[in-house]
Amino acid sequence: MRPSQRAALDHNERAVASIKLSGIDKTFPGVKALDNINLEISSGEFFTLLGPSGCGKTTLLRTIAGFYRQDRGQVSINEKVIDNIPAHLRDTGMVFQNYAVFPHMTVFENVAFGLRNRKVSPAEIKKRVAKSLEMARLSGYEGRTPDQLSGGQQQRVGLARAMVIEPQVLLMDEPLSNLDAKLRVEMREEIRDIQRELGITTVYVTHDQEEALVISDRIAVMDAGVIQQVGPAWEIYKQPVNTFVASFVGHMNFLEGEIVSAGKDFIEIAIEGNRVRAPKPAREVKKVRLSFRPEDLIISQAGPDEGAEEEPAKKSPGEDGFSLLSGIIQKSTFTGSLVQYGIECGPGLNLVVERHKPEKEALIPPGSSVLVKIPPGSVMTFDPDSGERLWRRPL
Amino acid sequence: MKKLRLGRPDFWTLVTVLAYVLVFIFLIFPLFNVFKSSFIGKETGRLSLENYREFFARPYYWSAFVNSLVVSIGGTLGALLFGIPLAFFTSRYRIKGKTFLSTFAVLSLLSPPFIGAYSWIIMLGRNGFLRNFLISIGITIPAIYGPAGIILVYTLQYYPFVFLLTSGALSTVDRSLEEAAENLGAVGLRKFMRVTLPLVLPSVSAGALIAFMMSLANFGTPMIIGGKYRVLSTMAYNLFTSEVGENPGLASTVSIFLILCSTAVLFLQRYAATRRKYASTLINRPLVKPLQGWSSIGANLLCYLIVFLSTLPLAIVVIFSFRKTKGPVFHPGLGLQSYQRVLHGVPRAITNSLFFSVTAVVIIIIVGTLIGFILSRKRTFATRLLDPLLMIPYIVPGTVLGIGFIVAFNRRPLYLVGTAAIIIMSYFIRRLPYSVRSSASILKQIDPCLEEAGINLGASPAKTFRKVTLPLMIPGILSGAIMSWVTAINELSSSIILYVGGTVTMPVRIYLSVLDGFFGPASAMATFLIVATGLSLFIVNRFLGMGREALVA
Repeated sequence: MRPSQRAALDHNERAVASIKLSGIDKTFPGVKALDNINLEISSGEFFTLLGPSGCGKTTLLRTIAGFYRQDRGQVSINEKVIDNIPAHLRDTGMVFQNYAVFPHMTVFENVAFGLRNRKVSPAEIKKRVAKSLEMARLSGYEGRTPDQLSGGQQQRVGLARAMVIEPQVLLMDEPLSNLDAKLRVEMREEIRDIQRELGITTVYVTHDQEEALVISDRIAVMDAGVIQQVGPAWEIYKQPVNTFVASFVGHMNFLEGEIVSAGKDFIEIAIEGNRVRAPKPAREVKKVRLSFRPEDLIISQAGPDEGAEEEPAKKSPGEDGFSLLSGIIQKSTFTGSLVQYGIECGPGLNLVVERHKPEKEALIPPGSSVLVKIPPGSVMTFDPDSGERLWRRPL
Repeated sequence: MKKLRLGRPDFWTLVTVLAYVLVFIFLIFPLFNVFKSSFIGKETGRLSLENYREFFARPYYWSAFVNSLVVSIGGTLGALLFGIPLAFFTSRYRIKGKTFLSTFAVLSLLSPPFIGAYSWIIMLGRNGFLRNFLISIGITIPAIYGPAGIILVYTLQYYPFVFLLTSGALSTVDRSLEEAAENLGAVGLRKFMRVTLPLVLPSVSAGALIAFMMSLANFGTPMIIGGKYRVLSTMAYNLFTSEVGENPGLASTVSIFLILCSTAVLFLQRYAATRRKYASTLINRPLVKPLQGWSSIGANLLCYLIVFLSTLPLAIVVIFSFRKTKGPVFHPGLGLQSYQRVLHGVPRAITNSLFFSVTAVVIIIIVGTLIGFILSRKRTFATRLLDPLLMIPYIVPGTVLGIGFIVAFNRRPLYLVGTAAIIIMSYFIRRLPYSVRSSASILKQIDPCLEEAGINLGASPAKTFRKVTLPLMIPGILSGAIMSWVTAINELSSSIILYVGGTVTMPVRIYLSVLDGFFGPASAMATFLIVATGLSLFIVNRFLGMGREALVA
């Protein structure tokens, strides 16, 4: 979107709203959909609810919209409890997964619908619809009916229709999941731009972790009706609080073993006879689950005298503290910007390693013996029973 | 699924309550009265099995039961015999004027059921012109009266059900299945019997079921063309209304047998159809092949012959309505005396028919749309139970409902006997399911998200229903309404029991004229009904752009 277009939409007097959810429970027959949800979303924030299907994220969004009534707890907007306000008076703008563009109305009528309900004067409606369509890059499409539009265009109508009423909060329920991959990437940038420009408080639901990382100010990761972690993208990715968040966001390698030695800052665990070093948790434990991202590992092809002759069991951290594992490449997947290897380092011990910007000679064929280096600083430790993060001792 | 929330009644709770009230007053209550009165002996006036004993003891009664089965099964077989080949040839081979053929098939389906009977009497009755002609060239055939006549009329009236449902199914059978059959060595009739027919059998059986139920419930046809051949529906009517030997208890017993019979067949078909339901993923539409030479001529001839035979009675009626008459007798030449007689003699019948049907349809549209909405959008225990209750009108013959209405509404506070309201409400309750089903099925195609979007944008639930849901439902509502209208204006079997002098309707008037031998005015009124029916169908086709299959589905 061009800057000149955005400037036209700058409403300085736009009401910005904060959302507060306290102690929300919701049970459907046989399922606890929301379990004690507490969240504070500040004015102008782009807030994403991320989780697998059935985790309760859509239920939570629909509770804010007023389509569900929670069993317990409160929803407030701008410090005002809205639980008894019916859905049609809540002043939220919602964008639906399958667009929900009225098929019996033109694009103009669709966008004007909410304004008419708000008794806005016809002249004002015309002005605001035109502005909103311009923002959604749909100028000139006013007279079209939805069946003459592509999926992406229909979703733009949905977006314009929700934005034009200048709602206190914008609610988006997987708005991009019905679009094809390329359009999805394009539209998420646009949504982000428009949101930033208007400064409208937005709650966005998605199951796509990459989309969540790219688009959000903050993310709440949900599972089984419970919020697992709330934080900005970097924190969610780099400092997951439990194994669920660690495995759901991005790819993660997990190893589990008993602690065999503990130093001042590091512990070492034995895995399949190898020793892997990790930061020392603050709490004393016997067993830990270690995890590290594929892109943090360093892979090198083992020399002819290495691997086969040398017993892998003898591997222990080198001078630099990097743990060493040797293994055999099972699978190699080239995706363009990176190459991903599946490496077997022993029975049941499989790692995923990524190498970015691969050169042709860096492509190692399956069956090759390799050495994998694990920088100890990149290793996270979790309680193997509860899955909770074991934080390192503050330095 | 939304949680059932008690204690917060809204508009839709009110609709649910209203639906139950209507169903109980106009369906359950009359039927319960029929049931009760079937156990009340004529002599004793007390609860007993006297009527049932009587029914089985005297062949006079139970033979009607057998006769009913004979003509209904005969009519159904005839409908299959005509409907399946017509469906097969028109959907698989290039037949000229397909749309024309199916339009006329539907017209003959929806025209008043007894007009066919009466028309065949004009042709092949004791003094029928066709029979007289055949006799004059030396071919003597018996007059059409009796079971053969009834079966002929049922066949020609109801084969379109089989035709429409079967051709709908045939055009969604994946081509590759038939190609696979050919590839494995099955061709021609063998392929049809072993692969194609079994695949469309659920639809064929649904068509057969409707044909059977309609035949069983039909009253006008056996009354006009049956002669002395008694079936259950005519017997119930005679027992209930005749001046001498009136026996409402026994009439109710006969009614119970009618209901039992159609219920049994309904469940039988359901059972058979669900066991043989094939999930299909339509990938390749079947090919419509051209035919060459003799086979082309043969196929075209067969299709046109079937449709010609079923349209012939309508054509005869229209032609006879323009013949010159003097009293009950036709004279050579053309004239408008029949129409004059109708307009001067019985204008009441025309206005009544229009008024009753329109009023009933308006109520049906309103109530049916609302009930259709709660059935598909507000799934609660109460609404789910309403679904099977609304199936009941399909299995209750008009005669039985008429008897039920008279028994139920002949005392205060609901004294309705002899009023226009009783006829309107009988139309209403019998045709309500059409409208409910067509609104419920169109709602299935409307994403509930649209309604949520409306609410989210600030329209109240009621306004959202008006501005979003209702406009999208209109095609479904209209097609249901037109079906209700067409069947209401042609209704005979319950209005013949419910009418009094002031509330006579056109079908009743036609029936009475035929009995009295006044064929001219009968033809004129029947022509009026045929034209009204044809116009309505034209509107459905033209302005709603709906397939003919939608009418029976």
